[in-house]
Amino acid sequence: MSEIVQSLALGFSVAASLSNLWYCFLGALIGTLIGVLPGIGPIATMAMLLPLTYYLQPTEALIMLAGIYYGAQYGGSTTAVLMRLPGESSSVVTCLDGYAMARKGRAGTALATAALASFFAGTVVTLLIAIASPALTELAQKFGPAEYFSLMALGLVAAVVFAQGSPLRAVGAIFLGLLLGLIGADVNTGFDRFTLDRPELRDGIGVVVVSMGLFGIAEIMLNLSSGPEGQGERTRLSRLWLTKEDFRAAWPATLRGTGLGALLGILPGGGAMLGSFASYAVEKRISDTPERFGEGAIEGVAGPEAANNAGAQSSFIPMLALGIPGNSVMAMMAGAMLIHGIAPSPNLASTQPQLFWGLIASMWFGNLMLLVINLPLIGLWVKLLAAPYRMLFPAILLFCCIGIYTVNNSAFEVGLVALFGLLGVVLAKLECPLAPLVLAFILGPMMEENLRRAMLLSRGDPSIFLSRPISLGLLIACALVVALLLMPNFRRAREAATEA
Amino acid sequence: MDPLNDSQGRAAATSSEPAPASGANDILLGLLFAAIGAIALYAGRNYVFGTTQRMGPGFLPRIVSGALVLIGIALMLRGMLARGWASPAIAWRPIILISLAVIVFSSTIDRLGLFVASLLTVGIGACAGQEIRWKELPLIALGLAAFCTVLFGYVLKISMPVWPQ
Repeated sequence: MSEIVQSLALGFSVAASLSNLWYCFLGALIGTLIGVLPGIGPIATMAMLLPLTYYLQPTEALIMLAGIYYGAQYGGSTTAVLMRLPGESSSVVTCLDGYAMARKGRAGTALATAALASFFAGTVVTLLIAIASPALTELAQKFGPAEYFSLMALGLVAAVVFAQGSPLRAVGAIFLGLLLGLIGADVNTGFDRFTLDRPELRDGIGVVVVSMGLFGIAEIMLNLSSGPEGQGERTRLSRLWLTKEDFRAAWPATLRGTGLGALLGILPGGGAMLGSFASYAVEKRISDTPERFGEGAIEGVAGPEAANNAGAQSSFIPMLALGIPGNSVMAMMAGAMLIHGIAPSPNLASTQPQLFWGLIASMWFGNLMLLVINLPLIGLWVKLLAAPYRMLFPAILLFCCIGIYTVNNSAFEVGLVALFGLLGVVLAKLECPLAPLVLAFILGPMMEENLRRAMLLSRGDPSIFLSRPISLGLLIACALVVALLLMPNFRRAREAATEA
Repeated sequence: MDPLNDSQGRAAATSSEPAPASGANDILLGLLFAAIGAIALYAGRNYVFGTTQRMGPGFLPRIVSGALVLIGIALMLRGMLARGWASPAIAWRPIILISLAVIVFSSTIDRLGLFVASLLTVGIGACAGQEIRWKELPLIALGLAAFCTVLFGYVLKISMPVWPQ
């Protein structure tokens, strides 16, 4: 226990230094500023702003990026409430009751609820990470290639369950993602696979390129092709504070949302989105008055908002403890770490305690900043939202191009982004979920490496995955999830939950 | 279409469109998956497969592309069993112009530098909008190009060509 207190104290002393606080603030501010623009999610925001962090110290850079992430996340909720435009998938459910509240003249209350619920969830999960990290790092020591492989397999299976729409399409998306991940030189033999003799492809396609194309560029194309009514109706702001009844209704929902979000965020393949959908479904189910949902129920804002923030933050756990980026945002963080010469690994806490604990403590500061920045500045965000999309999208487009170019100074990668933009539009039009694809793309190369290593250790005997207890447990969990997916009752519940 | 029935959270953006029959979407998506899988199988036909103990570079490519072909076929079959055919409506102009804008950026940035590349990208990209205001467009392009040139070239001093070489 005292160890945790000591580590946290170290973290807070690092995070509370003037320069780190400044970068945390700057990150949260710019992140919100960009994230509040319609059609730009956290991934696009981070890719766009990545160049701003190149010249900082590693700790400062990661703290600023984390701040950008939280800001973008919160910015998405702001547009969800005010314009019924979710900036990213995790704030989709916030649209339902947040926008309904806004139409009833309670936009301010909805935004304050979102900010407070997020802050509460952020505080709890920061503590949780601090407490769980040492234990998880210890667990990570027991992880061999078989365990890593099984864990990532579980992540992919979970991604199918939580994707919207037909599971078969999600499975297809996963295999397409795995295939894209195979592009590049084979790690073990150096043999070029699917590189078309382009030297630029030997290192594989960057995560930033794939996610920027599928999410950033494709988003612009889809927004432009969907007609002017795609721009939601704007609402006026009201008073910001919550009444006593609001508090009473929002409080338990926030607690439950935090728990759900934190749990689901730890799963590789998890992240912010799962928690928010699950939380909304739970709140609606246990409510005495489920008919209020969709009509401006404050629980429908507090729960999912707490859950998406908790999930956003607990998705740092697999990366910090096991070195596995569980979603594309974390892959981006891992990429930023590599740019600064730090490899994400289970040893991070012991080799770079300043950075590790500083980053964890800065999560709490980041959430505090969001509260401080957003409540007074909501009026400003509303004004920014008033800018017409025809003036915004050229800027977004240009920032995307510059953002990609600056990652490796590679014009070739910018061209690839156009290709992935096209792929993203086609897949979205055919109702194929993109999140499982990106996750499989990220996890694929790691899965291959661990699979080959495990099979080498076992001399080609696949029973290694069943004879090691942790791996067996993870595979049983996979099998249970698949079995659930085949049960008609669960399928109906899943459809109800993912379509809220 | 349910406004939330969308994986990427562009609920409001696409909710105005009529729901496409899922038969068509399954068939087209299946076709896409099967085609990509088949191309990958063909491209990787000479990659060494190896054994389970020592997997060659071709082991996973073959399994993954094979699975993709099978999933594609399954989707096509499911689509054929479903009723109705309504091709998804795709507005090509924004898609083509935005892709073109990105490609122009990629092919000019190294030689012509940030300012010119930005000017061209925004100029082409802005034409993808639903309404084009010809008086406004050059101003937006110039303004954005100047802003980015100053921000990235001079304030942040990111190493990239700023002016034509």
